[in-house]
Amino acid sequence: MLRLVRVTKRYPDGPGMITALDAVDVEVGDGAFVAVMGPSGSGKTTLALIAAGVESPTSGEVWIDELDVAHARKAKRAVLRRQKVGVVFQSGELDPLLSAVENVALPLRLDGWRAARAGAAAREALCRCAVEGLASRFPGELSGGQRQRVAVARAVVGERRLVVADEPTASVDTATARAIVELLASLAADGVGVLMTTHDSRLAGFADEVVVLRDGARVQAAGPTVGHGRHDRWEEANL
Amino acid sequence: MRVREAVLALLARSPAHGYQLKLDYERLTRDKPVNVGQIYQTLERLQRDGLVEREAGDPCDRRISYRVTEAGRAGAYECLLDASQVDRGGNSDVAAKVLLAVEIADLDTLRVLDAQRSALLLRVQAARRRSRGSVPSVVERLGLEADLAVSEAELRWLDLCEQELKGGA
Repeated sequence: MLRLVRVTKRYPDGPGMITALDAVDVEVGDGAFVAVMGPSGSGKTTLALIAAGVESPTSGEVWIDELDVAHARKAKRAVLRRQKVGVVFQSGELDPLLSAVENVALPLRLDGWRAARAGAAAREALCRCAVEGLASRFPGELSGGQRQRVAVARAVVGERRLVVADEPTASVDTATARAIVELLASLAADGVGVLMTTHDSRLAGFADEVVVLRDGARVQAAGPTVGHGRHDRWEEANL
Repeated sequence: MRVREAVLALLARSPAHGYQLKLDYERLTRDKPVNVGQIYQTLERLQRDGLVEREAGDPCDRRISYRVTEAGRAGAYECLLDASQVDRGGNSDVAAKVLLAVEIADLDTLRVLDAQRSALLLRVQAARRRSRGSVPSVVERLGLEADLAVSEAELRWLDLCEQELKGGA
């Protein structure tokens, strides 16, 4: 379970400071699929990097299960990140010199798993992402969508129950993007917590919860609109 | 589709009574409410014009069931094949509200946009939940897809608006 509490991030900007995130709260429970959406510059990538433990917030708390990672030592943070959180970046970022299955097994090998055991877990993760047939291919031999599926497999390999995906569909076409997001939704349905950033509302619509960021802060949509009531009625009529 | 045309087409599918037609109409138009009185009024007119007739139904069932006549069936098919009334898009007022907000200086358009987006996202999520919840029939599934297609097109348009409005700011 991931919980960001009043997370704020400021960067130096010339003589002053720029606020990339301003007291943002986000919670991703087990099996929840949360999309963070907003235009570029809204702070969503900063949020993803902090959620993944890659960056520290200027203030606020980042809880992964029972530990506040924001205030953990750097070395501990790195280990925790590797063991608990899988990260998917915009263009997969696989090691070009390793095969798909070796890429997926890599975080487990870094944790000291033996090759056979790590390989078996990696194959299982590839299978969950429907790319088990590509295990021995190298990243250069894969399409953009296949690379992203392998990256998702690496994010969920072993015991990882939390995936942070930063614009995982930025470098693929629309149909592939939907397939990747559907894969993330299916992993969430299996109990993995997923935090995904996107600038595309249509893709955000696959998530259980959508957090809209603008200028580093969460947008609270106006109170109940006519739309909400209509939708509830329509939903009831179809139950 | 007007109520008269929809009722005729629904009856060309299978005989039905008034309240069933009301429910089917609302499902077909994705929640456009219709008064059951309006359905009965429409049925009376269709009957007067020789397009529908009462069925000799189950004597224990007090509800009156209607079915199309041959002329009614032909009329329904003609209506379904007629594409001269193609709508410009979804029948929601998302675009109208955002466009009006753009022209009102002291109202923040992004607030209007956020409200519409939030409502559309709820709609999309609800449609996806429904499609996951059970195994829908082909008609139900395609109906959900129609709903999703319109909502997603509007979401895409809202993203474009936000991009333009932020870019222009």
